[in-house]
Amino acid sequence: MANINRPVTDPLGRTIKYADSPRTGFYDVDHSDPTKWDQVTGVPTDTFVSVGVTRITPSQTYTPTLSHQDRAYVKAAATGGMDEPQTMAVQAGTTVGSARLVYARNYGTPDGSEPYIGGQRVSDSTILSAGDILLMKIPMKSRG
Amino acid sequence: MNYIILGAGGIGYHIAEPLARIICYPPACVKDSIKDPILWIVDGDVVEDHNLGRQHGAKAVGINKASVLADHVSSVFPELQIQVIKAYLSDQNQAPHRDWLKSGLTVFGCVDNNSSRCFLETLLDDYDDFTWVDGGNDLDSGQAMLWRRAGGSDMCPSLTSCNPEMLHPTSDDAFPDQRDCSKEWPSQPQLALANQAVAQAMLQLWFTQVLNKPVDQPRFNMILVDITEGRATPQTQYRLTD
Repeated sequence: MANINRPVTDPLGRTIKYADSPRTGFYDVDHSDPTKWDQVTGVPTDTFVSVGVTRITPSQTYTPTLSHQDRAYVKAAATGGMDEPQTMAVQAGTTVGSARLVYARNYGTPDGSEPYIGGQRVSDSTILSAGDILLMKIPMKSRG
Repeated sequence: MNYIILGAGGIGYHIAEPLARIICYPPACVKDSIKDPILWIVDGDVVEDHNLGRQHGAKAVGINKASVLADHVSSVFPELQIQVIKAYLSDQNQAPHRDWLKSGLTVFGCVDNNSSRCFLETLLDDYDDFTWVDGGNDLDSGQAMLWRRAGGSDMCPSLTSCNPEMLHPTSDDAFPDQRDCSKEWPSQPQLALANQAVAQAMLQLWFTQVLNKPVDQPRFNMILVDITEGRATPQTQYRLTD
Protein backbone atom coordinates (compact mmCIF):
# COMPACT_ATOMS: atom_id res chain seq x y z
CA MET A 1 0.00 0.00 0.00
CA ALA A 2 1.30 3.40 -0.86
CA ASN A 3 1.97 5.66 2.05
CA ILE A 4 2.05 9.38 2.48
CA ASN A 5 5.81 9.54 2.59
CA ARG A 6 6.29 10.20 -1.06
CA PRO A 7 8.20 12.84 -3.02
CA VAL A 8 6.91 16.36 -2.99
CA THR A 9 7.23 18.57 -6.03
CA ASP A 10 7.27 22.32 -6.36
CA PRO A 11 4.86 24.33 -8.54
CA LEU A 12 7.03 23.64 -11.56
CA GLY A 13 7.00 19.89 -11.04
CA ARG A 14 10.53 19.64 -9.67
CA THR A 15 11.20 17.35 -6.78
CA ILE A 16 11.96 19.34 -3.67
CA LYS A 17 15.32 18.58 -2.21
CA TYR A 18 16.73 19.50 1.10
CA ALA A 19 19.26 21.89 -0.37
CA ASP A 20 16.45 23.81 -2.01
CA SER A 21 14.34 24.06 1.07
CA PRO A 22 16.09 25.05 4.25
CA ARG A 23 13.89 25.12 7.31
CA THR A 24 13.68 28.89 7.14
CA GLY A 25 11.65 28.77 3.97
CA PHE A 26 10.48 26.53 1.23
CA TYR A 27 11.39 26.21 -2.34
CA ASP A 28 10.61 29.07 -4.72
CA VAL A 29 7.72 30.31 -2.67
CA ASP A 30 7.64 33.86 -1.45
CA HIS A 31 6.87 33.92 2.22
CA SER A 32 5.71 37.50 1.98
CA ASP A 33 2.76 36.36 -0.12
CA PRO A 34 0.59 33.90 1.84
CA THR A 35 -1.54 33.23 -1.22
CA LYS A 36 1.40 31.28 -2.66
CA TRP A 37 1.99 29.10 0.35
CA ASP A 38 -0.16 26.28 -0.92
CA GLN A 39 1.52 26.16 -4.30
CA VAL A 40 3.35 22.99 -3.52
CA THR A 41 2.02 19.90 -5.21
CA GLY A 42 2.14 16.35 -4.05
CA VAL A 43 -0.39 16.74 -1.30
CA PRO A 44 -4.08 15.94 -1.78
CA THR A 45 -5.14 19.57 -1.79
CA ASP A 46 -8.83 18.87 -1.72
CA THR A 47 -8.63 17.18 1.64
CA PHE A 48 -5.70 19.08 3.07
CA VAL A 49 -4.68 22.67 3.18
CA SER A 50 -1.10 23.68 3.74
CA VAL A 51 -0.34 26.23 6.39
CA GLY A 52 2.97 27.95 6.36
CA VAL A 53 4.63 29.17 9.52
CA THR A 54 6.75 32.22 8.97
CA ARG A 55 7.95 34.46 11.68
CA ILE A 56 7.47 33.03 15.08
CA THR A 57 8.56 33.75 18.58
CA PRO A 58 7.95 31.81 21.75
CA SER A 59 5.51 34.44 22.99
CA GLN A 60 3.68 35.33 19.84
CA THR A 61 -0.04 35.34 19.43
CA TYR A 62 -0.99 32.46 17.17
CA THR A 63 -3.88 33.56 15.03
CA PRO A 64 -4.82 31.12 12.31
CA THR A 65 -7.23 32.45 9.76
CA LEU A 66 -8.84 31.01 6.67
CA SER A 67 -8.29 33.27 3.72
CA HIS A 68 -10.63 31.77 1.18
CA GLN A 69 -12.21 28.56 0.09
CA ASP A 70 -9.39 26.10 0.15
CA ARG A 71 -6.39 28.13 1.15
CA ALA A 72 -5.31 28.80 4.64
CA TYR A 73 -2.44 30.53 6.24
CA VAL A 74 -1.16 31.46 9.58
CA LYS A 75 -1.27 35.11 10.34
CA ALA A 76 1.35 35.48 12.96
CA ALA A 77 2.14 38.58 14.87
CA ALA A 78 5.86 38.48 14.83
CA THR A 79 8.70 40.18 16.49
CA GLY A 80 11.43 37.90 15.24
CA GLY A 81 12.96 37.66 11.83
CA MET A 82 12.81 34.79 9.38
CA ASP A 83 16.34 33.73 10.09
CA GLU A 84 15.97 33.59 13.81
CA PRO A 85 15.72 30.00 15.06
CA GLN A 86 12.60 30.56 17.10
CA THR A 87 10.16 27.83 17.92
CA MET A 88 6.57 27.58 19.07
CA ALA A 89 4.27 24.88 20.31
CA VAL A 90 1.06 24.06 18.48
CA GLN A 91 -1.63 21.87 19.91
CA ALA A 92 -3.07 19.04 17.91
CA GLY A 93 -6.66 19.86 17.14
CA THR A 94 -5.96 23.49 16.33
CA THR A 95 -8.47 24.48 13.68
CA VAL A 96 -8.32 26.87 10.78
CA GLY A 97 -11.74 27.40 9.32
CA SER A 98 -13.14 23.92 8.88
CA ALA A 99 -9.72 22.27 8.88
CA ARG A 100 -8.13 20.55 11.82
CA LEU A 101 -4.44 20.24 12.45
CA VAL A 102 -3.42 16.60 12.37
CA TYR A 103 0.07 16.66 10.95
CA ALA A 104 3.09 18.83 10.76
CA ARG A 105 5.70 18.47 8.14
CA ASN A 106 8.77 20.25 7.01
CA TYR A 107 10.79 19.98 3.89
CA GLY A 108 14.04 18.18 4.24
CA THR A 109 14.94 15.38 6.58
CA PRO A 110 17.21 16.29 9.46
CA ASP A 111 20.12 14.52 7.82
CA GLY A 112 19.55 16.31 4.55
CA SER A 113 18.84 13.20 2.50
CA GLU A 114 15.28 13.07 1.20
CA PRO A 115 12.31 15.36 1.38
CA TYR A 116 9.45 14.01 3.36
CA ILE A 117 5.86 14.79 4.11
CA GLY A 118 3.67 13.82 6.98
CA GLY A 119 6.67 12.61 8.87
CA GLN A 120 5.73 14.05 12.18
CA ARG A 121 2.47 13.64 14.01
CA VAL A 122 1.43 16.74 15.86
CA SER A 123 1.02 16.31 19.56
CA ASP A 124 0.39 18.77 22.31
CA SER A 125 4.11 19.26 22.68
CA THR A 126 5.04 19.54 19.01
CA ILE A 127 7.53 22.33 18.45
CA LEU A 128 7.47 24.03 15.09
CA SER A 129 10.10 26.21 13.56
CA ALA A 130 9.95 28.97 11.01
CA GLY A 131 9.53 27.48 7.56
CA ASP A 132 7.69 24.40 8.74
CA ILE A 133 4.49 23.60 6.94
CA LEU A 134 1.44 22.27 8.68
CA LEU A 135 -1.02 20.01 6.98
CA MET A 136 -4.54 20.79 8.04
CA LYS A 137 -6.99 17.95 7.43
CA ILE A 138 -10.38 18.98 6.12
CA PRO A 139 -13.03 16.77 7.73
CA MET A 140 -15.08 14.60 5.42
CA LYS A 141 -18.76 15.45 5.03
CA SER A 142 -20.89 13.26 7.24
CA ARG A 143 -24.56 13.84 6.36
CA GLY A 144 -26.53 11.72 3.96
CA MET B 1 -24.09 -12.01 -2.65
CA ASN B 2 -25.35 -9.46 -0.17
CA TYR B 3 -25.61 -5.83 -1.25
CA ILE B 4 -26.59 -3.53 1.56
CA ILE B 5 -27.91 0.00 1.44
CA LEU B 6 -27.25 1.18 4.97
CA GLY B 7 -29.44 4.23 5.38
CA ALA B 8 -32.45 4.92 3.18
CA GLY B 9 -32.38 8.70 3.43
CA GLY B 10 -31.13 11.27 0.96
CA ILE B 11 -28.20 9.31 -0.47
CA GLY B 12 -29.72 5.85 0.00
CA TYR B 13 -32.87 6.89 -1.82
CA HIS B 14 -30.89 8.02 -4.84
CA ILE B 15 -28.57 5.03 -4.96
CA ALA B 16 -31.20 2.30 -4.70
CA GLU B 17 -32.67 2.15 -8.19
CA PRO B 18 -29.44 2.43 -10.21
CA LEU B 19 -27.75 -0.07 -7.88
CA ALA B 20 -30.63 -2.50 -8.31
CA ARG B 21 -30.37 -2.11 -12.06
CA ILE B 22 -26.67 -2.97 -12.05
CA ILE B 23 -27.01 -6.06 -9.87
CA CYS B 24 -30.13 -7.25 -11.71
CA TYR B 25 -28.78 -6.65 -15.18
CA PRO B 26 -25.00 -6.33 -14.88
CA PRO B 27 -23.18 -5.12 -17.96
CA ALA B 28 -21.19 -7.85 -19.70
CA CYS B 29 -17.86 -6.44 -18.50
CA VAL B 30 -18.73 -7.08 -14.84
CA LYS B 31 -21.17 -9.95 -15.15
CA ASP B 32 -18.82 -12.46 -13.51
CA SER B 33 -18.50 -10.25 -10.42
CA ILE B 34 -22.21 -10.39 -9.54
CA LYS B 35 -23.94 -13.64 -8.65
CA ASP B 36 -27.27 -14.29 -6.95
CA PRO B 37 -27.68 -10.76 -5.62
CA ILE B 38 -29.76 -10.01 -2.55
CA LEU B 39 -30.43 -6.35 -1.83
CA TRP B 40 -30.77 -5.39 1.82
CA ILE B 41 -32.18 -2.00 2.74
CA VAL B 42 -31.53 -0.95 6.32
CA ASP B 43 -32.97 2.03 8.18
CA GLY B 44 -34.84 2.58 11.43
CA ASP B 45 -36.17 6.01 10.49
CA VAL B 46 -39.56 7.00 9.13
CA VAL B 47 -40.28 9.47 6.34
CA GLU B 48 -41.17 12.93 7.60
CA ASP B 49 -42.49 16.02 5.86
CA HIS B 50 -39.13 17.75 5.98
CA ASN B 51 -37.54 14.87 4.03
CA LEU B 52 -39.68 15.37 0.94
CA GLY B 53 -37.38 17.89 -0.71
CA ARG B 54 -34.70 15.22 -1.03
CA GLN B 55 -36.28 11.78 -0.78
CA HIS B 56 -39.45 9.71 -1.01
CA GLY B 57 -42.97 11.10 -1.62
CA ALA B 58 -45.85 12.54 0.37
CA LYS B 59 -47.69 9.21 0.54
CA ALA B 60 -44.71 7.73 2.40
CA VAL B 61 -44.84 10.13 5.35
CA GLY B 62 -44.98 8.18 8.58
CA ILE B 63 -43.74 4.94 7.04
CA ASN B 64 -40.34 3.33 7.60
CA LYS B 65 -37.83 4.58 5.02
CA ALA B 66 -36.32 1.18 4.29
CA SER B 67 -39.76 -0.30 3.73
CA VAL B 68 -40.85 2.50 1.38
CA LEU B 69 -37.64 2.31 -0.60
CA ALA B 70 -37.85 -1.47 -0.88
CA ASP B 71 -41.41 -1.19 -2.21
CA HIS B 72 -40.26 1.30 -4.83
CA VAL B 73 -37.30 -0.79 -5.98
CA SER B 74 -39.44 -3.91 -6.01
CA SER B 75 -42.01 -2.22 -8.22
CA VAL B 76 -39.30 -1.58 -10.81
CA PHE B 77 -37.38 -4.84 -10.35
CA PRO B 78 -39.81 -7.46 -9.02
CA GLU B 79 -37.29 -10.15 -9.95
CA LEU B 80 -34.77 -8.86 -7.37
CA GLN B 81 -34.72 -10.43 -3.91
CA ILE B 82 -34.97 -7.63 -1.36
CA GLN B 83 -34.73 -7.80 2.42
CA VAL B 84 -35.76 -4.96 4.72
CA ILE B 85 -34.32 -4.24 8.14
CA LYS B 86 -36.33 -1.60 9.97
CA ALA B 87 -33.64 -0.82 12.51
CA TYR B 88 -30.68 1.47 12.89
CA LEU B 89 -27.22 -0.04 13.15
CA SER B 90 -25.66 1.04 16.41
CA ASP B 91 -23.58 -0.29 19.25
CA GLN B 92 -26.79 -0.88 21.21
CA ASN B 93 -28.72 -2.42 18.35
CA GLN B 94 -26.73 -5.16 16.63
CA ALA B 95 -29.09 -8.12 16.75
CA PRO B 96 -31.29 -7.20 13.74
CA HIS B 97 -28.23 -6.96 11.51
CA ARG B 98 -26.65 -10.38 11.95
CA ASP B 99 -28.15 -11.78 8.74
CA TRP B 100 -26.55 -9.31 6.36
CA LEU B 101 -23.22 -8.93 8.13
CA LYS B 102 -21.39 -11.74 6.37
CA SER B 103 -18.09 -12.11 4.61
CA GLY B 104 -18.18 -11.07 0.97
CA LEU B 105 -20.75 -8.36 1.47
CA THR B 106 -20.84 -5.04 -0.35
CA VAL B 107 -22.22 -2.25 1.76
CA PHE B 108 -23.18 1.17 0.52
CA GLY B 109 -22.90 3.41 3.55
CA CYS B 110 -25.53 6.12 3.29
CA VAL B 111 -25.76 7.06 6.96
CA ASP B 112 -25.79 10.59 8.31
CA ASN B 113 -23.32 10.34 11.17
CA ASN B 114 -19.76 9.30 11.93
CA SER B 115 -20.67 7.19 14.95
CA SER B 116 -22.37 4.71 12.64
CA ARG B 117 -19.45 4.80 10.21
CA CYS B 118 -16.93 4.08 12.96
CA PHE B 119 -19.06 1.26 14.31
CA LEU B 120 -19.50 -0.28 10.87
CA GLU B 121 -15.75 -0.15 10.37
CA THR B 122 -15.24 -2.03 13.64
CA LEU B 123 -17.70 -4.72 12.55
CA LEU B 124 -16.25 -5.11 9.05
CA ASP B 125 -12.74 -5.42 10.42
CA ASP B 126 -13.64 -8.94 11.59
CA TYR B 127 -14.08 -10.13 8.00
CA ASP B 128 -11.57 -11.11 5.32
CA ASP B 129 -13.63 -10.08 2.30
CA PHE B 130 -15.85 -7.04 1.95
CA THR B 131 -16.39 -3.83 0.06
CA TRP B 132 -17.59 -0.67 1.75
CA VAL B 133 -18.46 2.32 -0.39
CA ASP B 134 -19.38 5.25 1.80
CA GLY B 135 -21.05 8.54 0.95
CA GLY B 136 -21.44 11.78 2.84
CA ASN B 137 -22.34 15.34 2.02
CA ASP B 138 -23.29 18.73 3.42
CA LEU B 139 -25.38 21.34 1.66
CA ASP B 140 -23.76 21.23 -1.75
CA SER B 141 -20.61 19.08 -1.66
CA GLY B 142 -19.50 15.70 -0.42
CA GLN B 143 -17.50 12.60 -1.15
CA ALA B 144 -17.59 8.89 -1.89
CA MET B 145 -14.94 6.75 -0.20
CA LEU B 146 -13.90 3.12 -0.51
CA TRP B 147 -12.55 0.53 1.89
CA ARG B 148 -12.05 -2.91 0.42
CA ARG B 149 -10.51 -6.09 1.76
CA ALA B 150 -9.94 -9.23 -0.30
CA GLY B 151 -8.53 -12.49 0.99
CA GLY B 152 -7.66 -10.87 4.29
CA SER B 153 -5.62 -8.06 2.69
CA ASP B 154 -6.67 -4.45 2.55
CA MET B 155 -6.79 -3.28 -1.06
CA CYS B 156 -6.99 0.29 0.22
CA PRO B 157 -6.86 1.74 3.74
CA SER B 158 -9.86 2.04 6.01
CA LEU B 159 -11.88 5.22 6.21
CA THR B 160 -10.85 6.20 9.72
CA SER B 161 -7.17 5.54 9.03
CA CYS B 162 -7.38 8.11 6.24
CA ASN B 163 -9.71 10.43 8.12
CA PRO B 164 -8.86 10.30 11.81
CA GLU B 165 -11.29 13.11 12.56
CA MET B 166 -14.07 10.54 12.13
CA LEU B 167 -12.93 8.90 15.35
CA HIS B 168 -13.94 11.99 17.29
CA PRO B 169 -17.58 12.53 16.31
CA THR B 170 -19.27 15.78 17.22
CA SER B 171 -22.61 15.86 19.03
CA ASP B 172 -24.32 16.01 15.63
CA ASP B 173 -22.60 12.76 14.73
CA ALA B 174 -24.20 10.58 17.39
CA PHE B 175 -25.96 7.32 16.52
CA PRO B 176 -29.43 8.12 15.16
CA ASP B 177 -31.11 6.09 17.90
CA GLN B 178 -29.22 8.11 20.48
CA ARG B 179 -30.00 11.67 19.36
CA ASP B 180 -32.87 13.99 18.69
CA CYS B 181 -33.40 13.91 14.93
CA SER B 182 -35.82 16.83 15.05
CA LYS B 183 -32.88 19.13 15.62
CA GLU B 184 -31.28 18.14 12.36
CA TRP B 185 -33.52 20.29 10.20
CA PRO B 186 -33.03 23.06 9.23
CA SER B 187 -29.74 23.59 11.09
CA GLN B 188 -27.84 21.34 8.67
CA PRO B 189 -29.69 21.58 5.37
CA GLN B 190 -28.78 19.40 2.41
CA LEU B 191 -29.68 19.57 -1.24
CA ALA B 192 -31.14 16.61 -3.11
CA LEU B 193 -28.65 17.45 -5.84
CA ALA B 194 -25.79 16.85 -3.40
CA ASN B 195 -27.32 13.53 -2.28
CA GLN B 196 -27.74 12.53 -5.91
CA ALA B 197 -24.21 13.55 -6.88
CA VAL B 198 -22.71 11.59 -3.98
CA ALA B 199 -24.83 8.54 -4.80
CA GLN B 200 -23.61 8.71 -8.38
CA ALA B 201 -19.99 9.04 -7.20
CA MET B 202 -20.41 6.01 -4.93
CA LEU B 203 -21.65 3.89 -7.80
CA GLN B 204 -18.85 5.09 -10.06
CA LEU B 205 -16.27 4.30 -7.40
CA TRP B 206 -17.70 0.82 -6.90
CA PHE B 207 -18.13 0.08 -10.58
CA THR B 208 -14.74 1.31 -11.77
CA GLN B 209 -12.52 0.36 -8.83
CA VAL B 210 -14.14 -2.85 -7.56
CA LEU B 211 -16.48 -4.53 -10.04
CA ASN B 212 -14.36 -3.83 -13.07
CA LYS B 213 -11.03 -4.74 -11.43
CA PRO B 214 -11.72 -7.35 -8.77
CA VAL B 215 -8.13 -8.44 -8.23
CA ASP B 216 -6.35 -5.10 -8.39
CA GLN B 217 -5.73 -2.34 -5.92
CA PRO B 218 -8.02 0.56 -6.70
CA ARG B 219 -6.44 3.33 -8.73
CA PHE B 220 -8.26 5.82 -6.52
CA ASN B 221 -10.32 5.33 -3.40
CA MET B 222 -12.28 8.55 -3.23
CA ILE B 223 -14.33 10.87 -5.40
CA LEU B 224 -14.95 14.41 -4.23
CA VAL B 225 -18.04 16.13 -5.58
CA ASP B 226 -19.04 19.78 -5.51
CA ILE B 227 -22.24 20.71 -7.26
CA THR B 228 -21.52 24.44 -7.08
CA GLU B 229 -18.45 23.89 -9.23
CA GLY B 230 -19.84 21.02 -11.29
CA ARG B 231 -16.93 18.92 -10.12
CA ALA B 232 -16.33 15.22 -9.44
CA THR B 233 -12.66 14.58 -8.69
CA PRO B 234 -11.09 11.15 -8.18
CA GLN B 235 -8.47 11.19 -5.48
CA THR B 236 -6.27 8.80 -3.53
CA GLN B 237 -6.47 8.98 0.23
CA TYR B 238 -3.52 7.74 2.24
CA ARG B 239 -3.27 6.24 5.65
CA LEU B 240 -2.60 8.86 8.32
CA THR B 241 -2.79 6.67 11.40
CA ASP B 242 -0.71 3.67 12.35
